[in-house]
Amino acid sequence: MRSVSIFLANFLVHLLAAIGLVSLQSSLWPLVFGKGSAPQLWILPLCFWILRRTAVEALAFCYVLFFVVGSMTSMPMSMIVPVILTVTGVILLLKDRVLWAGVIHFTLAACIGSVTAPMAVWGWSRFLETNPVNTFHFFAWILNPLLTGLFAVASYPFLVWLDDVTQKEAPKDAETEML
Amino acid sequence: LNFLQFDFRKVLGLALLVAFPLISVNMQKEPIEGPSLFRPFLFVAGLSHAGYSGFSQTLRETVDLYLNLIDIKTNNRVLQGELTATRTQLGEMAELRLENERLLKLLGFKEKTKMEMIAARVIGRDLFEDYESIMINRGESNGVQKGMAVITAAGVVGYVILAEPLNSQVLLVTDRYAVIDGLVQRSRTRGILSGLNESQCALKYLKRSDDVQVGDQVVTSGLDNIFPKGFPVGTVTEVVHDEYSFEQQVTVEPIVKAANIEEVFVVTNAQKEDFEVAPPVTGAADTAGAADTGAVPGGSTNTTKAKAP
Repeated sequence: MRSVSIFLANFLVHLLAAIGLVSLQSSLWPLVFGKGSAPQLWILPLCFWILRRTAVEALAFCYVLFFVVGSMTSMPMSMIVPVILTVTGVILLLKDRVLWAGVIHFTLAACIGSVTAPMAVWGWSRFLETNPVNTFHFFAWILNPLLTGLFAVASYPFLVWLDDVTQKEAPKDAETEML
Repeated sequence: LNFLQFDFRKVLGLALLVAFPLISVNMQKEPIEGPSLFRPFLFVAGLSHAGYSGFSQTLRETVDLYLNLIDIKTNNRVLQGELTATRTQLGEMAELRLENERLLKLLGFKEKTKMEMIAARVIGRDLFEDYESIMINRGESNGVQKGMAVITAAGVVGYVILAEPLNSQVLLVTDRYAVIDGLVQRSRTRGILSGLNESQCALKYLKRSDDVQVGDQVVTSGLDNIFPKGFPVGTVTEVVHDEYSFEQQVTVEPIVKAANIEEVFVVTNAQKEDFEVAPPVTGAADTAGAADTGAVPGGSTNTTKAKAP
């Protein structure tokens, strides 16, 4: 019973953090820096859950993230779901082979996610949209992962702190790599 | 008797030693002037005084300089702070002045139209670069509803696709999912305006024979009474006639640049407003987010030339 309440509290706290991060990307960033390249902050909580939780828990978080992201974009849900699932799948795939927890790997995962996301948007748009994406933002494709990586370094201690606050235990194998 | 025996040479030497200065003093011509024997001493003393004075002066100046430096540093710090505060205030004033100008123009526009509108501020943008939408700080509680038109004083911005109690999501005219009934102002050719990318739209479903030229102004048709009639949307930048197609591809550059929008109007009731017959709205062209194309509703040269059918 206690483990369930800890999980729910942790889930809720991370969900609020995700909303805060996504709002920062959607609202504060463009208001301060204008329209242009922005860090893909919605990827950060997703990466954190993929790297430090089981696949089922990560998927649960991923499904809730659909709605968080969907509330701040005009992208239809039929596109949001495959795009986020693609990003999740890529990071999960790499987690089993290359990645594990720790700030460096978290940053790496966030950068990979940030590269994957626009590719997934472009690719899925070809299949699912009648009027698909017809422009390439090459500059953004390069700059976004860098910005996302910077924010990943900064946000990792915060996300770990959220785990500490909600008494969520860190994954055992990750402890040696945590900085 | 030895007591009375003197060494007269010594006595004489002593007497001379005493008498010499007395004689010297008494022999001086001008009593005010010091004896000439003092002059070397005075000279050396003068040098010594000058040296000490110079040293003292230097020391005093050094101390003063140091003390002044402390003062200067303190003053500099204070002045730097004041300068920074003044610059900040100036920046704020400039920002306020620009905002004031923008709002005055918006107010002027609002006062000169019969449309019912709600002013709103842009508070967010789309998470994904390939999708064009903005969030505004007015929602259902302010009377905003899904489908309502969103404009600035210069042209069409988009329409509301999601109305929450406190805020709303606006689909920009440049979004690939956006569709607006448009009209080529010069030839009255109708088409559907749809977004292409962040800076372009396409005017679709125009027949090959329809009269469209580069530079033509595209305005809203106003048929649905969501948008006012004759309100500027953009300018035709490219017309392509495919050899084997019944249609022509028309590219339109929107008048309102979404990247720069800060304030917008949500049209709650267009009141059948027709900007092609309405009097010109002066001073509304240079509003935030608008390209300076002279596309003031009812105020441009093209508008005055065009006649309603």
